[in-house]
Amino acid sequence: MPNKNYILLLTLLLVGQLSFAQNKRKVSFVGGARSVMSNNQLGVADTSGIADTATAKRNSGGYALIDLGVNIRPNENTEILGMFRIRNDFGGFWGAGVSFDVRQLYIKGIVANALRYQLGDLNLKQTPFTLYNHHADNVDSLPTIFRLQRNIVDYEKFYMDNTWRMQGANVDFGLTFKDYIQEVNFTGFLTRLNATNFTSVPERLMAGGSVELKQSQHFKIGYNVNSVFDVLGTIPDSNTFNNSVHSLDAQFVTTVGGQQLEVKAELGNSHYSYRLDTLAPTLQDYFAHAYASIGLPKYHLRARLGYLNVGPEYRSIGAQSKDIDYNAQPFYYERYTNTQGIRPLGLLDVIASDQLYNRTLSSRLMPANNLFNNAMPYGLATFNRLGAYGEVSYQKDIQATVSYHSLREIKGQGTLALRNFSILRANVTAPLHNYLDLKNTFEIQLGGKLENVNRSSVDIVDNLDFNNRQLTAGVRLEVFKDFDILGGLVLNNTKGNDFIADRNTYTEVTFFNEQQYDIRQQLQGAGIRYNFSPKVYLLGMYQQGVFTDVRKQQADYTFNQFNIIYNMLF
Amino acid sequence: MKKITTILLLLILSNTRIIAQDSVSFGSLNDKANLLPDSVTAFEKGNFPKAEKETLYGLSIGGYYRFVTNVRKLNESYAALENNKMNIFVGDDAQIPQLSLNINGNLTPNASFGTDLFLWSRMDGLGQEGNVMGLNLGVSLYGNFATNLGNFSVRTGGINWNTLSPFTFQQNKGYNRYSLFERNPWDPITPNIDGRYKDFYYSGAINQDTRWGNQAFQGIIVEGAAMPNNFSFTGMYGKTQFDGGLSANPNFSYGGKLKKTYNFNKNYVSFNTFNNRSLLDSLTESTAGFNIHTIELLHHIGAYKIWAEIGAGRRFRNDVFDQFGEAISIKASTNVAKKFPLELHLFRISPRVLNNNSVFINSAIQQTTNISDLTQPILIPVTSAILPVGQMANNRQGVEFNGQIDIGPVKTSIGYSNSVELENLSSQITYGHPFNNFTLARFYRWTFPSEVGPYQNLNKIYRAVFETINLTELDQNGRPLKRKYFNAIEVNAKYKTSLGNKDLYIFYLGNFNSVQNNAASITVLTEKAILRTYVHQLEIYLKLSPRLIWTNYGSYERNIANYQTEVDAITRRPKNQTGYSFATGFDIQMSRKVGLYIRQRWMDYKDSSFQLDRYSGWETSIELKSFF
Repeated sequence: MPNKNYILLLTLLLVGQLSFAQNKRKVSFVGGARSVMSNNQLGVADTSGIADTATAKRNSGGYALIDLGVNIRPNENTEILGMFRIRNDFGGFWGAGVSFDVRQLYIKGIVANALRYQLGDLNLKQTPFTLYNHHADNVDSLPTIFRLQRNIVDYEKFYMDNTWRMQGANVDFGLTFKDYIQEVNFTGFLTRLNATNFTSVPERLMAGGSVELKQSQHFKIGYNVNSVFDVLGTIPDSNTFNNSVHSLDAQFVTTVGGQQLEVKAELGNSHYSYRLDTLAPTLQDYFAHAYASIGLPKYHLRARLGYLNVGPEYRSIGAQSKDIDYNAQPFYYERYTNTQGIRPLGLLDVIASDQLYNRTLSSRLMPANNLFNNAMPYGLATFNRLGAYGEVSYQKDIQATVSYHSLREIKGQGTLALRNFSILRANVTAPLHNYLDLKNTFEIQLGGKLENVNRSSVDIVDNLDFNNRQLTAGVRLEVFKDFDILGGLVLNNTKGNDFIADRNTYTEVTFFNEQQYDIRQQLQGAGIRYNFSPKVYLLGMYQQGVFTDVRKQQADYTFNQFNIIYNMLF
Repeated sequence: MKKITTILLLLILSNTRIIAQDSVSFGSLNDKANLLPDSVTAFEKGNFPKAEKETLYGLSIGGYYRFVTNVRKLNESYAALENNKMNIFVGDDAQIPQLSLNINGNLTPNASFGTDLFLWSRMDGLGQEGNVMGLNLGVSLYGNFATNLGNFSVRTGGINWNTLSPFTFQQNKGYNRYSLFERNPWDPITPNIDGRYKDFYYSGAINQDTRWGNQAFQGIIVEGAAMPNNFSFTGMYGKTQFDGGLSANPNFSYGGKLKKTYNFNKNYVSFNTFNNRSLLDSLTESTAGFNIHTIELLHHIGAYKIWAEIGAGRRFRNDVFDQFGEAISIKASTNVAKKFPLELHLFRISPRVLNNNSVFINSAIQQTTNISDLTQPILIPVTSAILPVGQMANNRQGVEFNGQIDIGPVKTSIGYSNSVELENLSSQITYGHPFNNFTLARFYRWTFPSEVGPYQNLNKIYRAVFETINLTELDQNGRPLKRKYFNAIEVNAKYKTSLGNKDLYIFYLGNFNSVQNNAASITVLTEKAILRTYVHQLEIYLKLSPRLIWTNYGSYERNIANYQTEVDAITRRPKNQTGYSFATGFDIQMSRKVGLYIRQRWMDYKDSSFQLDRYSGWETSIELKSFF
């Protein structure tokens, strides 16, 4: 296979080179290049009080890679992209540690100036309840120094505009009308979630589409469908799986007394079943989500009030897949302490380790991690949530947002009592150079999140009180033109108790494990960056992640990392 | 059915037009408002991105194709090759690929990247299965920027080629006394078929590629130039090829140079440093490494040029540091009567100074076994070595003279070296076999093994083989009783004339070396020498036509040890080696930038004392090379 990759690469390069010379519009190159060099050190405070002598405390790593995409346009209506990754692991001399991969491959174009199609790799999105990558556990207002690392994760996993990377075919087209209706847009796709192994894993596909009717500049309404299904006959077992979601969404925008008003709503249901499995439940439920926003341009303010109701049995693989897999292993220090137990993931891993992240959807309900998100682990599509939220934002030179979610469960989990959820978020980005009359950029970021989950019951054993407090602070100071000093701090304290649900393959709860928390996490970093262009930078940074379990259930650790990153996008 | 009818009706009644939602260029559809949209948002479902991507500023591809094959037939061979006396090998055994593509992309005028892809086909009949692909030099990213403080550049990834100073980070360039007959992988194709020989005759050197004299480095290299007060600097942090490869152990090397030029950039002084810290065990608790810091100076006084590098180096293990030892190299040169360039070189390098990335080789620490046959050993497996003039070693001090005398059409480069060990540390002497060096290296194809050969005393490094000889007069600690003295004389005479109106080049290279326990002004030619080595190499190149050169080569080597060295168990005699090699061939310019090089060599070698150490036979080499 690598040989095939290589021959393809060679052919594309040579063809590209020739065509590049002959006609610059026919062939162009896109992609990125990056080199990363890391030096790591782990400090462990073993709960036994005996020094950890089993873990290699220091290591290094890194790589240099080029993603070279050859963009070929045989005619003005067709585009082919083949992108290869050439990677050289740090320390590999004279060809050692080299790998080749095909990173992307697709063809797209327009048929008869009417129908747009793409075949191969796709980045798909519908609505937050049908097909959507919520990035629910992202740290709010991530300081730039950490954001740069997170951008690498996003690039590696093709995260953009809340889409999921999938493979299949997509078509879309639109109809324009003279009267009554401005246009109707259609999009449809068929993708493959997994291929059969001919024995136990069936061919699993996702098909979906949206129709959107735009009546005017003020109103539109749409219908969305998304269905994940096994193809019957691809394995001997006829017990096929199906998860289908239907929704209607509408948006109304108008101006009232000089103020902008927007109302948006979506209503839908889901069906989750196995064809023959008598043990498998059929889960059906609905959701409703609506919000109204008002914008006050004069005051640079915007306010939003929303309502959310997602049924306890609402299941949507497209919208409830998490980007992060908490069962995955980080690249550095997977195990620690004298017993070589699995090291709990910390802020540094979650922000910067792309090994933890999924490229595409998961057919199973993925586990959540209370340390990073308890109230809405699947974003807006989190099932069993009912409540309201509000948000106020100010956008001028200072950009600030405050939001509050107040939610509760619809159905008790292991008890009749219901959990209550509240999330208070606030973040601000302030260009201080405007106020200090500085020529160069001096910008600070501040953010905070208070998350509370509680439950009161007549049975004391059911009671829980869980708090997660997150604080972020970042600074960017442009010392010379294009030369920045960056600093950042993230604090995440988790305290209280909660019951973690064990779920079977049908997503049903089978058991609850009570978990007590008193975890303090801290991530701090500082670095210098030179920007060769808006898409090319060189960064030298040091960061330290501290994980402290006050209850001493897990060994504390300190993860120090020094990185040199040279990143290019083109 | 109803839905379809309705749609059709709508189409007809409203003069509907079917459109693609956007063109293939995928122009922006989603212009987000600052606060709220003043109309319903554009169609935000389906496939993304909706905006066209920016493309690369420029991309270029260059490189070379080099097909090499060797056929070797041994009449008499080492035991290890007994079953393969007839050997056919396609490809360069020193791991140089057939097809190399140098790809460079420019993102902006000041940011770029580069990589080199290679393909190698062994032509072993397996087809695709037998092909090898990869990167030779890896992936590198470059950037540069100009500020009021100077111009700065950065290189990351690698392999990047770099140099600081001879004692800190550089490869030995020598004095251009070598044989041209056997071609190197990096030898260029000159526009004229005899360009390589003509250059060597007139300028005393041939054109070399960017690697010449530089060391390979992975990591980050930052350079600053045109700084205030004529300062410039280089800083580097990463790995050399001796820093443990892909191991996760944080083995790093780092160094730098701060340089100031003066007198209109004719002279300079610089501070240089190079350091290594390696972790030896899996728990990363045991450390080892070295530091070396030097001052380098170039100063012109009238017709005299003075260059010097003086510094100190030390080793450490587990944070226990040895004392610093001195490293001194001073060269004074002038052109006597504007006709005879002459250079005097004095050097002294303490055995406490260690740096496996510098121009001097290690002879103070013995490392006989490397970690892997596929990678170079961390320390070159030599001991007290017989070295060419210009090649320094630690634990040694000496004096060298290098000069050139031109008498008519005969240009003669002469080198003289007289050196002595500082401490009697090593009980071994290492020496090479120049008369048949590349062919002998090809006995151990592709890998870099140590302790091979019929007496396990051969060590292969890159395109060369060294032999080790053991001394017998040792103290109770295994150390030799006396220090060793080394003498070397090199003569490289070049003559150009015509034969039948055709250009004729005749090159002679003679090396005369000895090692003994007493000081001597010139190479010792008697039994007093522990080891004597004499090598004569004669090359004749006749330009038959503008596209054809007839190449010829003959060499003779003698290596004679005395009874202070290990003797054969049967003959009870010390080493007494004789080697002959004769060769002929053609350089053919097939077209512009395409050359065909054919070589046929006959060889005969034997040690009259050590019965197993002998081989004879022939070898044919064919090289087809094209640059693009």
